[in-house]
Amino acid sequence: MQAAPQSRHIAPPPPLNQIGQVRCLQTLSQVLDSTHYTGEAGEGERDDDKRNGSVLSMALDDEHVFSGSQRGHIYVWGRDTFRLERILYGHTAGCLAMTLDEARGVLYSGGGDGKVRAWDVRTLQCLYVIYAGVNSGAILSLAYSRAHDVLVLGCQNTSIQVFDVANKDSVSREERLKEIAARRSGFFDSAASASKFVSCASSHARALSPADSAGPTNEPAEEYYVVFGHTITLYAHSGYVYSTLLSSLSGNSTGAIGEEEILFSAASDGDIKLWRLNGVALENIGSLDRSGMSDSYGGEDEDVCIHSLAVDDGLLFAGLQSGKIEVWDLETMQRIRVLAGNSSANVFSLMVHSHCLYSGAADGTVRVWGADLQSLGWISCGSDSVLALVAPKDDDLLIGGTDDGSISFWDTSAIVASLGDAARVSALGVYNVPKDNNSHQQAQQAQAQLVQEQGIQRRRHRGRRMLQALGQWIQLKSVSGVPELQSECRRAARFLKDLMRQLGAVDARLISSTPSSNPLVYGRFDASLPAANALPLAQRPTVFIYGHYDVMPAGDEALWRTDPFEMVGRNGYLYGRGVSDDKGPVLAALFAISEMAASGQLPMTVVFCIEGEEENRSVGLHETIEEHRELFGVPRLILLSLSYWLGESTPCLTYGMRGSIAANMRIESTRKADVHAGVWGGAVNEPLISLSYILSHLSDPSGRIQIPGFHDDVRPVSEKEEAAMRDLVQWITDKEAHAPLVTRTVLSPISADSVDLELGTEGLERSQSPLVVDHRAKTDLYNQLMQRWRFPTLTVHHMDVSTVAARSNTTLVPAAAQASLSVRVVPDQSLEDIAEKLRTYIEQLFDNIKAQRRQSGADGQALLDDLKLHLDVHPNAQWWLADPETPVYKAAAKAIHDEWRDALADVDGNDSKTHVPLLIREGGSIPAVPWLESFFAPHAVAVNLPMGQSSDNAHLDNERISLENLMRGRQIIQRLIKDIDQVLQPTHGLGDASSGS
Amino acid sequence: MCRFLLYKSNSPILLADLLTRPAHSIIMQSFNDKLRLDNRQPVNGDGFGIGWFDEPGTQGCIFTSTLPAWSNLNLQRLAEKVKSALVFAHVRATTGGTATAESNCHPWQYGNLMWMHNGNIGGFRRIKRRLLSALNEEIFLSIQGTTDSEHAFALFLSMLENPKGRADFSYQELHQAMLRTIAQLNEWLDEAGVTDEDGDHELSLLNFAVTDGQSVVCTRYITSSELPAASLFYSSGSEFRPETDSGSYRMAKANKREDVVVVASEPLTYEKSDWLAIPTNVLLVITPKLNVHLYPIRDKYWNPHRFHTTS
Repeated sequence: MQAAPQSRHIAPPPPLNQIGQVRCLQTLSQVLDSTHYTGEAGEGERDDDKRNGSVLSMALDDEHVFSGSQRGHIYVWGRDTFRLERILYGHTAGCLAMTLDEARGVLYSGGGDGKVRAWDVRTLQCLYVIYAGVNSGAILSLAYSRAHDVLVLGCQNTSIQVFDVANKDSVSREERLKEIAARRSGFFDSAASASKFVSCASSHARALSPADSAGPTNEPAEEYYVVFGHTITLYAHSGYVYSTLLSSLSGNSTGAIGEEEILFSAASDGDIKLWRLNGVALENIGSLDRSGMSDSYGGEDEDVCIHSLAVDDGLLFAGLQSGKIEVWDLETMQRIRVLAGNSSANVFSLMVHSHCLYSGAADGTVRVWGADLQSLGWISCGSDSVLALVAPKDDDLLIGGTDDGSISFWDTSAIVASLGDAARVSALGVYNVPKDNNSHQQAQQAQAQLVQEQGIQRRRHRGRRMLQALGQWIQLKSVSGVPELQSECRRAARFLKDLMRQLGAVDARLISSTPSSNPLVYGRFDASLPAANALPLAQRPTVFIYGHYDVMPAGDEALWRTDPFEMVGRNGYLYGRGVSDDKGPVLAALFAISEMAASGQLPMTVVFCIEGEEENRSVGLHETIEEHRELFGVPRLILLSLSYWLGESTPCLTYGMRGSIAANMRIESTRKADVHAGVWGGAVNEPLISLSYILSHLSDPSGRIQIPGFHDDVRPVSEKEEAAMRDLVQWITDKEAHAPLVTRTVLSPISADSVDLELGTEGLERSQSPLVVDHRAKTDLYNQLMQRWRFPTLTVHHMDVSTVAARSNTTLVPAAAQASLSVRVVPDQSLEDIAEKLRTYIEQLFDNIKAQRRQSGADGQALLDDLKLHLDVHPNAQWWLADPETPVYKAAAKAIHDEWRDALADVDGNDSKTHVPLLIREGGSIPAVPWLESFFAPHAVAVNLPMGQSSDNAHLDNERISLENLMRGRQIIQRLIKDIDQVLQPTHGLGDASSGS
Repeated sequence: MCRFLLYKSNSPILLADLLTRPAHSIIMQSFNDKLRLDNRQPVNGDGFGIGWFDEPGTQGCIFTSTLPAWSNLNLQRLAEKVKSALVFAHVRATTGGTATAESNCHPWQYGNLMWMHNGNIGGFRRIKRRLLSALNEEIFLSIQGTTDSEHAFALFLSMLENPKGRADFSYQELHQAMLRTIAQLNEWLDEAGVTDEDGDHELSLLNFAVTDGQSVVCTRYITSSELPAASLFYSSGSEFRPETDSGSYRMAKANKREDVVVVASEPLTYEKSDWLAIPTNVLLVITPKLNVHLYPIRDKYWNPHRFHTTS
């Protein structure tokens, strides 16, 4: 074997995020992207366009990530949900700096408008505004000193200013407002068209610039403060003060006891200066001598700006315009190293986290340096400058903001782990309580301790573990019904089985199904109390969780924004084939149950039955379950998550689905071959005309199905049902203005035409038009939902002729024609009865044709051939209807309501109690649900808990699921299962059959 | 009492985006200036000049005219085509009785250096002979016009070593030469008694700007420790670009790097947060790498407590 030729030059190493060392958990965008769906647009008015959307600064607290935009808006994102929670308006130019006073819960933001705004991080209201000194320009950096309770401002006019937070009210309000009024600019304020300058402060702020009045404003700030001259150090530098940093000389930015806090400042003049805070006055105590050593590392000239500073463990790091990072020993005040990246791009941001140094630069990279300053690699952020970096103290997470307006969340745990920091690694592993710890009590104690100690942190790690697993699972292209992907399906099945084992399942295995179909993944978690496991499994009451690991093909990949089989987090959503249908919900359930088992809180044995053929008519499911019935115990609750919310923001609970019957029919001539219409036409049968005749008699032009007796058993709509439906429509039009359901109804061509017509006839009576539109839209929506959920329907999917030639050649009489159709059935239609009626009716119609043909033959028209009908009718799925009044449904509704209550409370108060979750039905069918219910009758009742939203795009391009929905879905399952034994008790005790149908 | 503008960036800008299109462009300033101190001439109609550089290290090009800037069609045409990353522009209102002649239009150049001035040297006639006699032959002979501004340029040149033959100068060198020029003028003015407290005190307004095509040094200066100097503003960011078609320009700040610096007698736009006054008696440097430095000129007129105003 020949040795491979040795590479002549060393290729640059690939970025850490490409080789999986660092994973991007989520990307958020300040910029509203036109390709986003309506649901996303509703989240907030992101009016920054791409050119103006840079993330200039960031800060974070326990709950939020704050990002300051080029326009001056501050975006508030949920740290766990990745949702945009609020936009804080106030600054009229870019928000260049932010810092947090953690003890007070105050966020300070510095703007290009020369003002600092103080925000309450709990209420997200502006507390007050601080005017920096006269002619300060942009506030480029901010640092808050806990020790002195002062805020330090680094400004464009080379000054450093100190704002005395503690004694801010020592100057009277009148004096402050007088000072602000005295600063009025002759040029700008006379030029501004609306120069409604008055001494009243609040209107003053609005009159300052036309931009102030543009866009929505938060509560007007009540207080205005001013940085007065005596706390300003003018010409602290000779350049823009880009960075200010407070730290002790030993480099503990938190400030060890007894150590003096030092202010470091760096500017575009290339100087790094040290200052002592004497109350509110700054005393210059030296500077780091950069000039003398300019040649010692390759002739850096003096014309170099310093953008960023960071301190760790006695070292000061300075990020330069030239792309280099200088390392200073604060003990000796000597420059000990110069770190050089590959590029010469400005190092805009520096961050020390878990003893690693991260540097974000204008070339779109974040470079990573280990504790001994060796390079650990780099993270690629595309071509966009990395302007801001932050990292939470308690999490292996790096958050970077770039000049295209995105904020990326990087999981750095692999880097930390590679440095051998054992303590942190084990913190990540807490979800995995050792299996041999089978003493229930011990487990509970350990859990209680963990919960106390690690609370939020633990929840985050578990969430991250789940997403990591989901990301890996999405990569496996488990498309069912495609032979070449069968091995991929098997890998996906094995992945799930292994994961179940890792998560503590007492049994996890693959159960092979019918030949050539994908195996079923079975997993079991026993109840935590030994008493609950006393019965042998076959007789034990269980919770049966159904789901599937197979997915639909990606479809047209060009329509996907990202690789369908690579999970991507974007703006609070996870994107990828299967994230919503059904891998995401399956893992949410699995992690919910495994956590309960691990913490000794599982009241009943839970079995998982995750099939691999759901998208392929559940081939072999019945047989496999029948064969292994004993593994599933006696399911009392069948739980699944295979449907979607009606809209975008109101949680739903699904209680009904339609059934379905599929049919194929083929009409064949006995002549076997196509013939020339000119030669033979008239003397042969016309299969396609016969087929069309039959199809045209299935429903009348109004759409009503003509099969005799078809409607007999459709349950009449009760008054209660109708009222409930109207209520639902009212809610959805009121609360879900952006849901596709609503927008499509209002905007659908038919509806729009009707509305236009009405407006036209009503002439100028404009006052009525919104009502008309509203009424019209609601009626449309009501009818639409009734038709989709409540009434049967018949569809012809496809018609075809016998041969390719007959399809394209317009002179042939085809020898055969075929069509496929389906019927959706509803309560109380019997699936078999309707199937039989359909069959009989079609046969009747066919016989009719034959009879008429015979008749015409008798009248002298001789036909050369005869017709044959082949008809296959498959009753696929029963309709399914649960009773929302049963205890199980009430418990499920309560679990959903309780979980979402906090999120909905501020929106709708009491109103949400009666409406959340919305009780909905679906027009589609899941054959497994009614089948499982009847197979495990009389004890089993199925609950379908939808997690995803209506815009999830299941089966389509850019399938997604809201991360928050997924996380809350997991919580909902825990809430429901927690007391499920109590909920199920009454019927169990009586041993009677009914589950309410 | 003139108006000037200078611009330096990493990538070239179309002159029209500086000179003709912005709401308060220098063309607008030429007949509608708002911050004039000296009201002897209400408009800046005595000619104009544009200087620009093609590439660093080469000589710039100057286009001057005695027509008012607002009526010069050639300026409109050129501005729509010429792009440059370093631009000087000046509209003139003569003071001190100098002629309206092309040789008296700013900017001037000498070797790679380009110079312009907004203001006047008070009592210049009383130091002119003194100044001229201090110049070396070559610099003396290079003077074409009759303005105090051009003579100040000649004095500045005489503060440099070999000003003609060199392609570039360090920004520190230009900085020092500028300080020495001002100091020398002050010394002569003092000696000539122009600045005597009890005498016929004439103020000098010395807003000078000089570039070698790579660095820019400019001053906002007055021979007074109380009064504000003639207005001078600066703005920096990542791009100076139109927001709309109607002349509304903004200085975009897409990152924390300065890719564009504009210095102008009056802001080119009404975006308050985009413009910052250079404090009186402060020298501003734009380095070749577009770092902005500000240095107080700490001579006898330096007064840190001078009344600050945003305009």
